[in-house]
Amino acid sequence: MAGAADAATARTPLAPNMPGAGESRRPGALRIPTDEELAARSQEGEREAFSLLVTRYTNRLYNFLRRRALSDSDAEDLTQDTFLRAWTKIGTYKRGMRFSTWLYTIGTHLGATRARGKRLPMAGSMALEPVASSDGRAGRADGPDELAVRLWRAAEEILPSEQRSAVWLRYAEDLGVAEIARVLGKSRVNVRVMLFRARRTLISELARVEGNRKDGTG
Amino acid sequence: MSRQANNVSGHARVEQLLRTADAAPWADAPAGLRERVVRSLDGVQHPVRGESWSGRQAAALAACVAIALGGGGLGLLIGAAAWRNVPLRGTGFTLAPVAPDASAPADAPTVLLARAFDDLRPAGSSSLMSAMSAPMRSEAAGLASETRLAARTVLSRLPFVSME
Repeated sequence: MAGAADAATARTPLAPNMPGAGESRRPGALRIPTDEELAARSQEGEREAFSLLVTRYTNRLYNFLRRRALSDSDAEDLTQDTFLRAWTKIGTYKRGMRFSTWLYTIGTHLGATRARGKRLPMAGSMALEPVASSDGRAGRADGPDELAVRLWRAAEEILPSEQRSAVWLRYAEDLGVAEIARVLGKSRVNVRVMLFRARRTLISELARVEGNRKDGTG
Repeated sequence: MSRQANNVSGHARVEQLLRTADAAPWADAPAGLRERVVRSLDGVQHPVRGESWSGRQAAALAACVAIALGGGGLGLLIGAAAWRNVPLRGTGFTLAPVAPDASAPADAPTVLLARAFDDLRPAGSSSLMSAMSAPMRSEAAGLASETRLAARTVLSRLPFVSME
């Protein structure tokens, strides 16, 4: 029974752009607790509730931290440390705040601290390799979303790391500007400017890609 | 179309493309990462449930401090009342007046603070004072006077002491 609940929860994507989004929360279906409810229960000491949060967020947190860490193994370690810190600091979580924002903020701080300790640049200068997920989605370039996939790939390769994180949080995680500002430790205006510049860069990239396609070289 | 309109439509188009379902390059977390995280949580006690120092011991420390402060305040109140031989207002009991110990030797060098400060003087002072030289006697009298004044000033500031 618990296993079934776990599986159901693991399939519950909270980001609308995440693969498989929208397949839960059917009317009449068994009500699945929100992240914030689970966080509140974790505050009361309910370990199972936090385990469910770990199930929900392992992939999402790893994907976010992968854009800020220096390597994939760094991102793995950071993911583990972030959950550990979140558990030990669960008492400081303010009810009503979005759990993802709180968790990503911890991850960002830990990443920055670790980078300072190693005297390395704060966010990854590593260009991300396009990752083929289990169904090969990210590597696909011949489907109806070809242009979108290429645009994301370009964003991963050419945007500076802070802009990359902001774009990821905005369009993949669907966080608001205020939440991104909190996660990245920037002002809202700063985040708006970062997103604007990122889009401007991507507009140029889009024009280049479309030009190539017209020429038949893309 | 103006340049500004072009710009706006460009941003909107990029946003639309970035929001396209399944376009974002989600990577699968390494197999076993979740289990690794859960295992690492096993070794950590819950901080809110009181296993840590901050919750339980801070409360005990606060209780000890409160008891010490309360006891100290009460002791001060009773001591001041006994010193001045006044009934404790509102507490319903009176302490016996403090009297000089008659069995003490007449020329003992003990200075007894008795019956408030009005007669602050060396106990059995007649022989002691007469043994002093005149300058020392006036010095002692001046010191006693200053001490009395200072003590009276301090006591007059205490809310539970009447100086009538």
